[in-house]
Amino acid sequence: MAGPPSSRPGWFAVPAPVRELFKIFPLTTLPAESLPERAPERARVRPSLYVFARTLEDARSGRPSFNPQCLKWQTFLRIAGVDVHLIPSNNHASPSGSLPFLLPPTTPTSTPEKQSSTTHPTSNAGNNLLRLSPSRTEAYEALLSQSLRPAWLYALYLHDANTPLLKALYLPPSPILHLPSLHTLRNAATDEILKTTRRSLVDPRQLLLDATDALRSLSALLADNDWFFGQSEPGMFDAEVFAYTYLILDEAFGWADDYSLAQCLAKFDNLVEHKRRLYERCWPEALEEEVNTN
Amino acid sequence: MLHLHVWGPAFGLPSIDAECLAIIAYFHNVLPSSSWRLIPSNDPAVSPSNLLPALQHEDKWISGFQPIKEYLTSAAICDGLDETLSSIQRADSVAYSAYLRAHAGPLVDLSLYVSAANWAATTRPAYSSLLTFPLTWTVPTLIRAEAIKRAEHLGLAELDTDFDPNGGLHLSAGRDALPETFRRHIPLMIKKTVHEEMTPEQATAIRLFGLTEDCLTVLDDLMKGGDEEHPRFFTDAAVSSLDCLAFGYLALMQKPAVPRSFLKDWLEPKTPRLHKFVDSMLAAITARGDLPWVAPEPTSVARFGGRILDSVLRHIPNLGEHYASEMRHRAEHQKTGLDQRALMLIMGVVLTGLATGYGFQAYRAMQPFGASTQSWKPRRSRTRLSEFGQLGSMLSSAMEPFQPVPSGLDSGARDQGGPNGMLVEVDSEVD
Repeated sequence: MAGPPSSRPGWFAVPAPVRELFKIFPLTTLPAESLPERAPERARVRPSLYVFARTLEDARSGRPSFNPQCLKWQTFLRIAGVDVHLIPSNNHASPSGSLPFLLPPTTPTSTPEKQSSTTHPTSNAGNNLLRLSPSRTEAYEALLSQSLRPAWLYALYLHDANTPLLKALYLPPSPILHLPSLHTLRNAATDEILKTTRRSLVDPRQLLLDATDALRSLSALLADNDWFFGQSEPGMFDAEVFAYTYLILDEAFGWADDYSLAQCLAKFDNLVEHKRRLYERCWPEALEEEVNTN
Repeated sequence: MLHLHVWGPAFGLPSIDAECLAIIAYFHNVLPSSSWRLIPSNDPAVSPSNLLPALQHEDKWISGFQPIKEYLTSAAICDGLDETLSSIQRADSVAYSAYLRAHAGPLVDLSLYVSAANWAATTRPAYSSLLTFPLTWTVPTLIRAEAIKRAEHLGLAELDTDFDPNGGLHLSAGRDALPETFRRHIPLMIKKTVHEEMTPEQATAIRLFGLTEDCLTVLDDLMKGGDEEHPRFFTDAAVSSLDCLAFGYLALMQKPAVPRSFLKDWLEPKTPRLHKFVDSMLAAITARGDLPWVAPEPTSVARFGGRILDSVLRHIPNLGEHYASEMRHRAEHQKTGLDQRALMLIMGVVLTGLATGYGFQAYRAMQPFGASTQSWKPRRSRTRLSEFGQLGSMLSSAMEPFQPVPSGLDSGARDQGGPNGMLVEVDSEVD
């Protein structure tokens, strides 16, 4: 009954007209989709640290950031000898809503568009540089966040004489956005101060007294040593203290004169010396510039 | 004479607040009890800076543990407790005090205020016994809201979403009492996962214990060495100001009988030295004699009413926050009475209120959108039979000569005429 199978098309063979139809549409391979806008365009050789910076120029030349948190990690990375690429940014750019954050360099083995994970500096800190007597370090860190930071917040955000400075640093250039942003910033700062001090009012005089107490304790802790806790090399805690002392003492920062943390700090010579020592160590190029200009 | 205003006693401790406890311990150690008075005023508004503990010395008011401590030495009232410490020990004392405020404070807030079970079973009743009646409804919740805000950064808000799974009314509760045939038809409503069965404290136990461990080991490390029976932070001083402050926070971790005692559960077995420290500090306080308690002056009705109104205003959503920040602004700039800003605000609030009220009334008076106008007229002339549709109107036209008097009217007429009719009848009988 059945003829030779070669003479008849099989059950699953495509009928001739359909085959003709498909021949009209050639199978093409489309070019790869371009990466989304937010993806890093090129491979990063150096890790990039996103920080607050006044100008793009400042960030390029690696000058200290004006935000204590950013400056802390910037200093720490410089102490550790990690060469980073600074990118001026703001809170909206950060995955967690706060700066700084660090993007690790892309390694050639990984496919760049898939594995550009963001890492906060906290997670990859060099362990050898970190705390040696953890519990005491923690107590003194609490001193910074509990006593020095509220005074800093008050001076920068709430003190009326420093409003031009605050505008220059954090507020958007558009005049329409100025007032609401200023209001939001001030409310956030007030909340933060009230929460940390556990009081019901913001009392500038008391904040300054607390900050002076804190600085006195830090000065006593440092004593005649080069670095905190008698270490031979600077560490995390040095970077943390430096982030405040450098910004408070920076003459180019633009502080108003009448509520002065700098006057409190200037009384403690060893802290001023510590700041100078760490600055010279971490920013040797700035020192050379100063020499050249002079 | 020094007057120390504090929050009143609770949980078998002299005060419910950590800093008040600390300053009481401090005073009791530096001053003889004849030279100061302890007043459980329970109202932060007694001091201008709206904070307890507050010290009243002559006309001066000083609030907070640290400022009071410094005032005592600067006004040469007595020697401080830290006189014998070396400079590095003083630095440590300041640093660890900051550490206590930064880390032990939020833990106490978590245990006593954020955890809903503990709040309902222990802390709120304690506040109720301190305050007088209408304030017990308004003030403790405000205090709790503040504590929740302070502990917010720990990310343990789920402690607040608590209810007792065994206390409420569940469908399964009466199941055993039902006959077998009924029981088969009631579906088993609750099949809880293990996670749902746990109390929030159990569910977040790892994080809670982590926080507690971080905080208490740091303190425990500083206390190492020294006297085993009476552990103190600095061995060469009898009691230092750091001891007092730590006592304030640690006692509130250890002493209150809370149902979810995650802090106590850690404190007792893991850091027995801190546990012993609290007991020995408390024993030392009682050993030095009674605290010089004095009943607070009775508050005037106006002041009491003002406090109630103030706490109620703070509860109003949205508006309450503005009110609170405005009051804070006034207190910070030490303004009293009416100034331009306050007048403007009051005017603004009144005008907005009037406008809103007028708008609401106008809205109420408006026709609903899209509804046609309908008017209703009373039907007087028609008979009652016509109310029964077509058949009714046919009957009524058929019975036209006989017009039934509406029954209401009828009875009314009879009532009015009643006494007259009776009189006539009586008259006819007499005839």
